[in-house]
Amino acid sequence: MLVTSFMIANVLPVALQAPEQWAQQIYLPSASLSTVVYLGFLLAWIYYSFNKRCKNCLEAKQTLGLWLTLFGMSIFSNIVSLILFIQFTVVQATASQAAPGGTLVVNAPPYEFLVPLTLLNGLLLFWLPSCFLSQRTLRFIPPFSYELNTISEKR
Amino acid sequence: MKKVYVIGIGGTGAKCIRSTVHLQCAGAYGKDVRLGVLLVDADASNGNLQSARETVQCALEAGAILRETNVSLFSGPVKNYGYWNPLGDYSDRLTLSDIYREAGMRAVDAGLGELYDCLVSPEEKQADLSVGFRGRPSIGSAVVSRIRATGFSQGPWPELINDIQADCANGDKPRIHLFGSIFGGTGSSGLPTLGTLLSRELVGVRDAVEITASVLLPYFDFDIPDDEDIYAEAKNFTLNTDAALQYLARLAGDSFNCIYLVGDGTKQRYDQPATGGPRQNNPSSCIELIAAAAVSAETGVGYGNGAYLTVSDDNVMTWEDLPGEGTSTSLRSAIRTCYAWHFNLYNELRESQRFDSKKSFTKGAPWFDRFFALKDGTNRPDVESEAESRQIAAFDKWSVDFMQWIQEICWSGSAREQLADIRDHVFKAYQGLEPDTSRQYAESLEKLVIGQTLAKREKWRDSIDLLKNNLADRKHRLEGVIGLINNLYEII
Repeated sequence: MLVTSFMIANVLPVALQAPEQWAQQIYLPSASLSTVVYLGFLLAWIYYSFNKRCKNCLEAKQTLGLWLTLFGMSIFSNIVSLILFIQFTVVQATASQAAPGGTLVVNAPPYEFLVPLTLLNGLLLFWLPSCFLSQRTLRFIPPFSYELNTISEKR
Repeated sequence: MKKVYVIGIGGTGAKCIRSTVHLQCAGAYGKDVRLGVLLVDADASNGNLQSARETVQCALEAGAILRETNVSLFSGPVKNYGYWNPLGDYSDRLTLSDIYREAGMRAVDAGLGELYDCLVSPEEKQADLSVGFRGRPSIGSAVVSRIRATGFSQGPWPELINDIQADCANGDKPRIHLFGSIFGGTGSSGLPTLGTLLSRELVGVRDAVEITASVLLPYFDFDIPDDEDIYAEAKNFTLNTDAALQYLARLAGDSFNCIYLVGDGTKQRYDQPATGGPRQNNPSSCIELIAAAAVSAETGVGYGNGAYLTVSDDNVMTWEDLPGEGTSTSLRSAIRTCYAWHFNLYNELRESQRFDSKKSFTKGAPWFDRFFALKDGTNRPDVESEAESRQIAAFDKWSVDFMQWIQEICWSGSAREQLADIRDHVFKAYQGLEPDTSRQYAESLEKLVIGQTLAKREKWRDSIDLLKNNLADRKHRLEGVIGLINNLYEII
């Protein structure tokens, strides 16, 4: 969250009048909310995988649908959160010699970067932890979790 | 390795052998016990005898490919000495008059013929003995005692006697355990007679051999069968028992190191009785289980040279009623293992064989790659290999027989189910290579074993899914089907 915020403010060639303020006032609160939502979905999956009793392999594999739904919902909620903050927050630029009281800045959001960053958030905050934290029979249900786990543990 | 030779005499003896072989496969007698099995019956077509022979065959087939050192299931070998018919090789109708050559006997000595008339009724003389001794010990003892003339030189006896003598020469202390009812025909005549004759035959090594017996007192009841003129009658059971016990006490008692009298105050009732033949195939009873468990009871320790074993509660048998250290624990584990196998693991393995990508299967079954290879070239066994398929089929065949047997025992209580609650299931062996659709997947083992309560921290053992997860958490020394069933048995 902080890393992506820093990248928007200082690294990525975004077409914003005040990228630092935009990142501070729109992206950071939105990302904070999204992170909480991601962690909520992740904890829900972990709780579900801990308590789920599967009779057989096919029943376990059917839970991939639930995992994909949670993954999709977490990304969707990230997008909703961004849209809400973009729509309802007016960026206040910091005071300067030209405008000692600060100015209101209207920015076109940098969607070309927000979309991949949202997906990156989803991967880092939901998919990757779920690969290592899924419990019991559902431990290998997240895509590529078996491959990732067998890198660290020879089975 | 401890050597135990069990001899089942008559229909009840055969049923006890069925229980004994299942206990041996379940590891109830310990990991280091070799079991020799001999069946004795005059009625080759007897349904109980056939069931026992099928069980022995299942155990032999499964043991031949599932035996591994230092495991619990099938660790002790079973040696089958086959079947001995006291009537010899006669396959046609045979009567007591044929055996004693009545006409010749009268011609040689008329007085002997008259004595014969005195001891044997006309109906008994002409009764067809190819279906057994019809609940008449007098007929049985007259036939079985003829083995004295052959000196144990016929049928499976020479091999059995040689093996026992070889064990003694190697410094072992083999145990011969006889099973038979004391209230019917074949058992009540054969058990004391064979025990005595074996004791005399092994006189040179008698101190090194333990001869024990489980003698079953009347534990079932039935109406008069409608198939023959001379038949077993439940009303004679008490009289037969009294006579046979007196004989055991006065004449044959010294031949045995310990005799376990096994009985129950409440008699089980058989609805469709038959005097011998294939129709005489009665369900297994908890009394036979107690009789079989007595094989592992140490002679002279707490029992002296005789003991009466029965259920502590008149109505139901409990796990505490089983004699022998570890018998209950092993049997409980075997029941839970076979149940989990029958209603879950068997179909899982068959399903895995149908998956093109074994890695895809193991993503939904993390235990799988702990026992089987995901691709060629790895050290673990391939679940699709012929060897693994044969192991699956052999264990399944035995476990079906085991579950049928234990289900009959659980239903034999007069009040309600006992030992385990295995209702509403029909156990049938499956021949195909695909999942058996008649087996519904089960997940919970919570209510299976009656009277077994697990500590809260061990509740995971009541879930097949959690048991499989426990197997998935670590590597195992034994892999493949053998590893799967034995590791499951150990943690279950």
